[in-house]
Amino acid sequence: MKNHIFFAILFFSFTCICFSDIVAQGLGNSGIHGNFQFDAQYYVNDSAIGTKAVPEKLLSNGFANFIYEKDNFSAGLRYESYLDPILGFEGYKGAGIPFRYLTYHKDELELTVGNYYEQFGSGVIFRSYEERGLGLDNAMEGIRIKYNPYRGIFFKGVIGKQRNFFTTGDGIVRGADVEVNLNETFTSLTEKKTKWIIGGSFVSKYQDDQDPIYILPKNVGAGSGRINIIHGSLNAGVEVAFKANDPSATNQTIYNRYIYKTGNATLLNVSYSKKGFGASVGAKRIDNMSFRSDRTATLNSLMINYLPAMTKQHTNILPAIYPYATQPNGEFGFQGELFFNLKPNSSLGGEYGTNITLNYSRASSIDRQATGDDIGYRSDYFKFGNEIFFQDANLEINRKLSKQVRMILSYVYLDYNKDVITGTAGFGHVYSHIGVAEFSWKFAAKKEIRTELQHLYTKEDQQSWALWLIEYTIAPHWFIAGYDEYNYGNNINDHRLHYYSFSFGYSRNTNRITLGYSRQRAGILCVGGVCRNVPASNGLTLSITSSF
Amino acid sequence: MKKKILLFILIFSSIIAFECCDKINGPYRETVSISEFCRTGIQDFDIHRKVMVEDYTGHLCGNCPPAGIYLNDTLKSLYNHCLIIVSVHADYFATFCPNGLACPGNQPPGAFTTDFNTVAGNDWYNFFGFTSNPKGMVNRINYLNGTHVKSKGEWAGAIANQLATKADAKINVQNSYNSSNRTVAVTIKTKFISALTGNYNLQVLLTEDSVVDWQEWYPPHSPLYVPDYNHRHVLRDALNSTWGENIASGTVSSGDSITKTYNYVLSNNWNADHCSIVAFVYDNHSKEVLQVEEQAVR
Repeated sequence: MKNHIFFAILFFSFTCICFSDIVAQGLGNSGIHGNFQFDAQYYVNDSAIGTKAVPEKLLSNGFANFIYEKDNFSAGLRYESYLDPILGFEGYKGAGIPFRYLTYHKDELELTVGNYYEQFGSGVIFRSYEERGLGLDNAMEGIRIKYNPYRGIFFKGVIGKQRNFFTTGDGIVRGADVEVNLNETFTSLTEKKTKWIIGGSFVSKYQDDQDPIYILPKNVGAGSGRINIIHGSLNAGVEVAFKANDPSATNQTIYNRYIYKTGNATLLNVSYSKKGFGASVGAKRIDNMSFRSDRTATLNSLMINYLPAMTKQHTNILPAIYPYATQPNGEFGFQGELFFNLKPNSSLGGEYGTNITLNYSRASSIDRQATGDDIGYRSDYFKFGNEIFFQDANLEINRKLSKQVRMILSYVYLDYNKDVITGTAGFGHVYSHIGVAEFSWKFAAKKEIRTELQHLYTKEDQQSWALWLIEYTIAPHWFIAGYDEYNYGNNINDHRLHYYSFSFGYSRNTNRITLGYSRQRAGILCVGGVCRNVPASNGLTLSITSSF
Repeated sequence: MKKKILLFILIFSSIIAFECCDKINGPYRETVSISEFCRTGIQDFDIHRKVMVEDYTGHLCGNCPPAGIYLNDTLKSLYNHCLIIVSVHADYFATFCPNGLACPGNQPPGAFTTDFNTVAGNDWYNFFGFTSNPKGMVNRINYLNGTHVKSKGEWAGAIANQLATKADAKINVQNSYNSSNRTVAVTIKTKFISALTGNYNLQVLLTEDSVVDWQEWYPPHSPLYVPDYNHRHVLRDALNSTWGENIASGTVSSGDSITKTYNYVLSNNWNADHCSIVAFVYDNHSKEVLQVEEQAVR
């Protein structure tokens, strides 16, 4: 009987695939597109790095998007499969269609029912988005209205619940945003060189109060106002936000007390660029701005807003060991960056020119004075706290040495408050100096070798690391790469381990297959200040991506 | 054009006005009333439901003490006889020194050397997909929709919801302890009081309360390494394996009852006066606990 069922499923699957092919071909010119990704890992036990036992041996994450568009109408769905999920994505266990929508656009009105992603302003009070690498998906499920009543005036209204793995959170999120491009709206400003964009948002969540101990606000509102001014190469923007009393698991004290303090945030960004030079400065102050549709949610679940990290996101492996995670309960952050392009055939620029990037960022605590009551604390807006959370000073020199060879040299200094950023204690600050040298050599029209030498020096945490990476590409189809990340400086002899990875891949048009083997250290992966723990693992990996 | 903008302003203002927010100016605490049964533990004519909270913790989990205190002090005081607590030490934060992965390295000599792990606890940790501590399950509800792993802020509401539902079974636990051979003879009678369909398992656990040992506790608590932390309701063993044993399959009639007996030898390291038998019946498909009972070993 089981065999019959198996063959029936197999037959049905093939029938579906063939039918899909026909449908896709038949509708190929009328707007079906999408993409597919499948990642699988075969796990082996590795007690030296503390891998978890995986009874299934093979774990996989996969999804496919199918989007149909015709005239003013579009519809889409995403099938997702986590059978069982790759380590670190445990909440997603299962398979299904958690994302589907219908959108209709007519004149100045656009309507979406089902799932959607949306953002108001910089996202400080509302951002619904997906970051697959973090396992973060807070897609809304409900209704969205976009309305453009007059030129330069854009209105958005949303209502719905947020995705929480394969279900939705308890809370209902309602919000509205208006943005006015003054130069478009008012003809007297149309020709002006200075462009003004103003906006305002309001978002409210509703969640029933089932707490037997506290009287909790069922409706919690947050509002923000923003202005963006563009004058030639100068771009300046500021957004100020406020949140009403919102006692939650995130801002709860360690003594299990909910606090009723209001929250606020200020974000400021200024950038300037001209040929060969660029500069940007950003600052933010966040005070009690964790905003979730479920007050009991923690980690990356059910976040209504997005609080960006004002730090550089390093892409090299060793500088990314210590990434910064935004502290929603309170943080003052600053970042400045300078970019220079030294001209070709100049004394400093060399024959082919040189790019230099200087970047500095810092995050620290805000002032806090305990009130001793259920409000929790007071904070002087203009006063800094005493604790540094993170500092990053880095320099990158990108220079083409010859027609075939390019070199990128980087130096990074990190001051990483491990206790605060990882929510632990007893580790203190990790001060590290990191050097990266990257060379790429294109020795034939379609062949290139790229290598990276990286070194991280620190006396703290797991002490020093060295890494060597090499990658060989035969364009446009093949690549092979490998690296060895060696914790040679670890004070504990048994922990002086190699973490290596080898992979090769083939890609053709929009299809790509990668097969690899890696021994992955436990760590933290952050994107834009939002992070997830990556457990240690060892095993074979397979990745297939495709788009159509 | 003006009409459009006016309409738009009206809609936008309405949304803000209607949504708005609830400002709590105090009092901030509920006036709590709980049932007579939860308060006194005295059974009347009705069969009342009890609720089990499993607190997944570890002696090297510095964020866990507040959750444990919240559960054992705040919620236990509130729900008293209706709440049965099992503290499951498992996985990373339950590794022990000096070689455990979570062992901080700068701990005092001899600290964190106790192994609180259990086979069942680690099996559950992995099966239910725990990835961090402190987290817990309330009667193992919501397994089928994947929201069974709950943070401490969710516990109170989930307990209240469970207590508001009627019980489907009654469990009676009788223990007879022989101190000369440290053996406890356990007799458990399970009586279904609702007609049900499914597969139902009986799980029998042994817990030890008030175990004084080391615990890591993050600042602002001081010290970081607490030598005399009171570990409450520690899971010591599962008497009938990780998933218990099947006691009913298919159609179950109201009034069906099953009696099971067990003999278990307590470790010399455990204080028999602090040990209890925790027995619960659960639906093997949904994993949801139908009823739970606790009885001191002696």
